[in-house]
Amino acid sequence: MSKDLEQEKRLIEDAKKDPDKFLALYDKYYEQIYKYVYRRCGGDKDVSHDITSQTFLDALQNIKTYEFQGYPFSSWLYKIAHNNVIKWYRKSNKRKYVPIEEAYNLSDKTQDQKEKADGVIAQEQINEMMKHLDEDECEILRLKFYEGLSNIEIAEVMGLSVSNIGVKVFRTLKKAKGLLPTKHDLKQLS
Amino acid sequence: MNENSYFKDIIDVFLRAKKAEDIDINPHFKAATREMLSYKIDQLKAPKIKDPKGFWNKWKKTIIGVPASLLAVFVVVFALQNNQITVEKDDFSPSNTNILDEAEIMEGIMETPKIEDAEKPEERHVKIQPLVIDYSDTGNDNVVIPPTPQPVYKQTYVPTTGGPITSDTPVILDDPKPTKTVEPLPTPQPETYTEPTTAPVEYIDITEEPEPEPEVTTKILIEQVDEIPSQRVQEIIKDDILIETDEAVNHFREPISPVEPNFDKTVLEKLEITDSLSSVNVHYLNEDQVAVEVTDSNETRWYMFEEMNGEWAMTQKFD
Repeated sequence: MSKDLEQEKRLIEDAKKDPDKFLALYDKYYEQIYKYVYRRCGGDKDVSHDITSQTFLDALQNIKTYEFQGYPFSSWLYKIAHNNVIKWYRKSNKRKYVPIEEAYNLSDKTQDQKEKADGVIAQEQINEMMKHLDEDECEILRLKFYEGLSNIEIAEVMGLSVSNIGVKVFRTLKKAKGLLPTKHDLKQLS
Repeated sequence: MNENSYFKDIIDVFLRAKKAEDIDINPHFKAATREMLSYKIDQLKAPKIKDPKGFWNKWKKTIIGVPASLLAVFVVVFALQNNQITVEKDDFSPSNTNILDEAEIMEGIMETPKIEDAEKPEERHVKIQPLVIDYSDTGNDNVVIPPTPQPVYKQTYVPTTGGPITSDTPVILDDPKPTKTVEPLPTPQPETYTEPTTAPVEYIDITEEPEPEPEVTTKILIEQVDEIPSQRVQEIIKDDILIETDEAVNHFREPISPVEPNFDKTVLEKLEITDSLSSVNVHYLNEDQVAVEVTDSNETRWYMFEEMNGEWAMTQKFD
């Protein structure tokens, strides 16, 4: 177990005894969870804020039921946020995948304009690819490449078995690879 | 070929997209959420105050409802086991002083047996004794039903002068045509009924409904009227002759013949009339029967005339 995980474990134990300690976990993971929710909700800031707040509130009220299993605490927060996003989709009767449109601030002059342009093109390719994937496959790609979670953490978030998640991740990547445009297609487009 | 090299193009796409994204974190949102969590933490740390009414609010339905349900079940069971109805027997014994006036009239006793004593349906019957009405206090053994009114013919002779009526007596008519009026005779009351003093009379079945009576036209010849020396008013009385003063007439209740009897003034000459004669009324009972009412000296006499072999003769006299 790494030092970070040992430190996080102590922090969780303290939060179970003293709720005030939970605010340290909040400060540590707020941005990470907010960005995840932001991507899932298509860049709606207000909705992302509400869902993120509800996610940490749920975590506070259920912290005593949490059992540390050697994974980062963020995995449990992702799982709560994942369920809240699904609830929001059901409640707002929206389609499950909302492409990100406002995740890129092109007016920011401090960033490399070429880098931003590449990012916009890459995001468009991702949006087009995700239109042909189901919700679980999209979620696997987001958790793996945006959030950087391991297969075990992805299984924890999505409620899948660890033995099954490896096959599922491989099939999703293979399917997504077939959906990406080839270099020949990109040359023709340019 | 490892996973990373095989999916390098996909990984590159996501890395370029993530590197270029610029998700702004609103510090106000974050602070607001933190404040909300702090408030929630304070609530979690605050000691829980027990609601003094919590126990009652939680268990009051059970505390009240269970005994009430048991009581309701007990009442239903008790009612089902004691569903027999007892009807008290009325006390008509002489010792019972609560019987009112109807007990003096009705001597019958309606006895209602107690249902609880009857075990079989055939035993559950009500004994009803016949109703006996005692008229002994009235002194009359017969029940008199008021007779149905019958129409009669009525002629009124009002002499202008006293003395016997002769064929030469002039008759003065106020109206050339005979006046037809209906005078309902008084209905005899049961208490004024008296036995007739005459010979036994024939009782007619009054239950038989009389045939509708056609309108009777009066046939009085002018020359005949002119010869009667008194004012002659002929009336048709459609009621029966129910005269209180003479029960004998009361027996002539046959349907009146529509044919007017051939009764003229010459027959009236046989009557005994004094100077104090006030009125003579002729009642046509049938075509061969006429009753004459004579009021003389404030007394009323009745004469019964019958036609036999073409001639009218006085057959009865009632004083």
